[in-house]
Amino acid sequence: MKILGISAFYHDAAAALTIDGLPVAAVQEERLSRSKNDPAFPLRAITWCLDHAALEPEDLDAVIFYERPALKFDRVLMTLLRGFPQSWRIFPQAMKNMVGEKLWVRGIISAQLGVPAKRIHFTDHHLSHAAAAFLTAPTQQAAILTADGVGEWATLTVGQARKRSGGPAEISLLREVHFPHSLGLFYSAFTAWLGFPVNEGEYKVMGLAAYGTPRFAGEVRHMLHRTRDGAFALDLGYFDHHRAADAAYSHRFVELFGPPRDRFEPIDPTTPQGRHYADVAASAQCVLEEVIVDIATALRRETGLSDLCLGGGVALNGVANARILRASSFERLFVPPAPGDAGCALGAALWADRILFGQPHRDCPDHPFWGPAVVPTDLARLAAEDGLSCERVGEAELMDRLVDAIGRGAIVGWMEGAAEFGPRALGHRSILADPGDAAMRDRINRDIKFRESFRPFAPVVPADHAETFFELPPGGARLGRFMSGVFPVRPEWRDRLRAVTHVDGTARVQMLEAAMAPRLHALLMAYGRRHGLPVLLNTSFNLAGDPIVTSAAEGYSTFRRAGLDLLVAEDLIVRRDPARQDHSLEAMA
Amino acid sequence: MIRHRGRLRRHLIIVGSASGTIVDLVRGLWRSTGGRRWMIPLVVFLCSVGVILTLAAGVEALAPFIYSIF
Amino acid sequence: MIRWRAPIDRMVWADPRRRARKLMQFAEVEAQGARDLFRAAEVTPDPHLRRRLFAHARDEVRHAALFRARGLALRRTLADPGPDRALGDGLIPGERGFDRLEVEKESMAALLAFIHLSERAAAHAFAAYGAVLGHDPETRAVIARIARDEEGHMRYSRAELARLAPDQGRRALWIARLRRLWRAYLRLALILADLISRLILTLVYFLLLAPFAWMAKRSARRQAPGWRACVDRSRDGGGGQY
Repeated sequence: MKILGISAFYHDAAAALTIDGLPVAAVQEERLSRSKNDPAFPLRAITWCLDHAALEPEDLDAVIFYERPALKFDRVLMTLLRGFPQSWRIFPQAMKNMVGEKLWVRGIISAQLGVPAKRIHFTDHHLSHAAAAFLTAPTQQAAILTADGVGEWATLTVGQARKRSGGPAEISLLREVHFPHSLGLFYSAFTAWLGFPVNEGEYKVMGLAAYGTPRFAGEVRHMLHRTRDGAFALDLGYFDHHRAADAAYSHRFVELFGPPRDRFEPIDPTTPQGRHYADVAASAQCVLEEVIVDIATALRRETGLSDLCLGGGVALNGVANARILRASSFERLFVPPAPGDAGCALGAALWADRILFGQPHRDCPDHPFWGPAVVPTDLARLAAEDGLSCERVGEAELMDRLVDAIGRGAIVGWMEGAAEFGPRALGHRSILADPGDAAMRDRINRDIKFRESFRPFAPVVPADHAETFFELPPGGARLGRFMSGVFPVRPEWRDRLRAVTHVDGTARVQMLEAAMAPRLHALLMAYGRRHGLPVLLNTSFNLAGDPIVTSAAEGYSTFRRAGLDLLVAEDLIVRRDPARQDHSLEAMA
Repeated sequence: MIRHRGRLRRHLIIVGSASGTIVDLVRGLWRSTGGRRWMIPLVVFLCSVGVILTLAAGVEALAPFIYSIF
Repeated sequence: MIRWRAPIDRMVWADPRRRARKLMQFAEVEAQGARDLFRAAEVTPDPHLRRRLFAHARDEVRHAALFRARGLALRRTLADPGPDRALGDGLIPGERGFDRLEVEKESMAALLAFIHLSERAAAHAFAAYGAVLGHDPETRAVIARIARDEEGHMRYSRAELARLAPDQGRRALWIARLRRLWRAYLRLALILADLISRLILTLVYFLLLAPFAWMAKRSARRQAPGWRACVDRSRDGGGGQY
């Protein structure tokens, strides 16, 4: 069966195509439209998926949308009614959003693709998350935990699932917590109060938390308290997400923690004000972890299963994930490379194949590389037209040159094969650098990524060497496969891994297996042989405000804008010529 | 290759399929375990408003006039 | 052109809060303009034009930094900087940069004509602002410097248009002018439509929702927070949207 999965209209729209039960293409709309977190109907992504598989829309057996728009409308309307009369300000906008567009998804898909309405299907938002986590994971039986801001009504679900290759698959969600009580929206309120963009700046809260101490944890526990049945509830007096479209926290929140941070001013965690922000971030992080670890622990007891599949935007919180692994007694944690809403496109397509249409399960390849491939000849043409040094070199020589250059402080743009599906650069669209030089971290933050100085960078290490450098709990290697866990750097290595060790001595490490990205693995091994440790700084290949690069032209553009030293696409290597960069390459009238 | 349709044509297709969505919504509310049947008249009214909004979006240049007629 | 709008500009730029806010908005517009231009450079097949667009984009990045630095400096002198946004985005056509430009959908001639007209509008607007900023020489210096660059951008885009589309240049410029007019009308129409729809929906809210709200609140009181059983919708065959 040929099934197209679509997620759209909230943030980070995406499309994914499965054929006979296996993913063949998946890409976020932002990677093609070049508009970060693009929520629009993913026509470019759909077009690319179909072209990649040489299909026409009429060849599709089914199109599945990742959530139920009518049920979502029910939630929006009920929330507005419950907020009467204070909700009058947001009613017009909310109604225009829902009944002016988002409710008519079936019609939109039909109008855009020309697919008959009867072939268009829907599933639950959290079931899409669950399917994305479970049906792609190499496990036959697992407990399921999904948590995000909100889907239709559910904000968090627990359940269990089973499958076997060639046999049936089954996912049953047992219980859920309903809006407005939401771990995702709880964290978003702190994100907004700290002056970061919601749905994008949550990483920054997590990074900032490491600088603080959770001295407000008591107060935060009042805001996010436990219910008698083991779930949780928000004290809604502190939040505004159920009353206002553009506000996340209330006046009471401000009375408790003080005025929100001015988003235009930098945070300096060494100042008293900066420490205050860091302490609030640490408190929110601490309480989030407590709640999610408790729920996971209870789920482990209830199901007796040793594996946990984690989905939803909250699963991007690597610190919380690592704590679940350490404290909940699950032996393995599976977080997909795209646990957020974009990943739901793939989850929904797999759910439709296995469960809606009852097709036998087939094990999915365990990698995130489902996007457009880089075309090195495009890069060769661009570089030649600009007169930059560009060479095709054999693998051994390429490794040799890169190891030498990185060791001397070069920063490398690295493009290989198909782009990653999901928010992280996992070895095909990366910026690579020396992990031992703190000045390198500052240079990349300041000159290349243009981001806050307190944000850490991630290391990448061959999976079989990870234990040497990082303190991993049992099952840690799996969590590190897609960079989903934060683990302590062993004290004896922290000095030599300064650029990738966060202030609290941890790192969000990717543990790379050779089969997943053989060339990067080979580079790491070569780097280890020359410099003593097979670890590189690995950050996504993009500039602040841009999506990760997809094509050779975007990689080349970013290479020049960021002032990277080398750009590699497959076996092609382009070298920056600093003397020529600004003068002869750029002419102005 | 996805065949591109004009904006108005797309919106007419959306409006044409709206009845199915409204039926789904009403059926869901009717069967809802949470006792939601009282919402049906409001939902049907708001969906009708939505159909007009969608039509208006199809011809954005005329949108203010369509609203005025409404 | 500059003379008739001087009183309005003087009024707009007299208030330091509004001045700071506008500078921060300009910084965002320039940053977005830079992204559009880098994108245009990525998709153009002409190496010479690519270099020009790239240089232009770098200028926009620099302008964004200049506006931002000056806006921040002004903001820091204010006891209360106020909200980030006024009514709508509060920008007039000359301040909008490339305004919803979809680079991939444009021909190179259309893109260059559009760039040329946008830069010309910006250069005129900045010249006008410079004329009323005598009381704030630092902001005036920033704006004057950027206005000079915009004139350079006007010239190169016109020259590139003549080089790449010698027969279509004038036509492309006229089409771009008409499109800018059309966009201005659409923006106005949408603002008007938005106001009317808000009014209608607000009336609906107060006239119709009260009894439903009472029912909703009554049902909410019966629901305690905590776990709920998941509803099994597997029997709807995947067709159900509810």
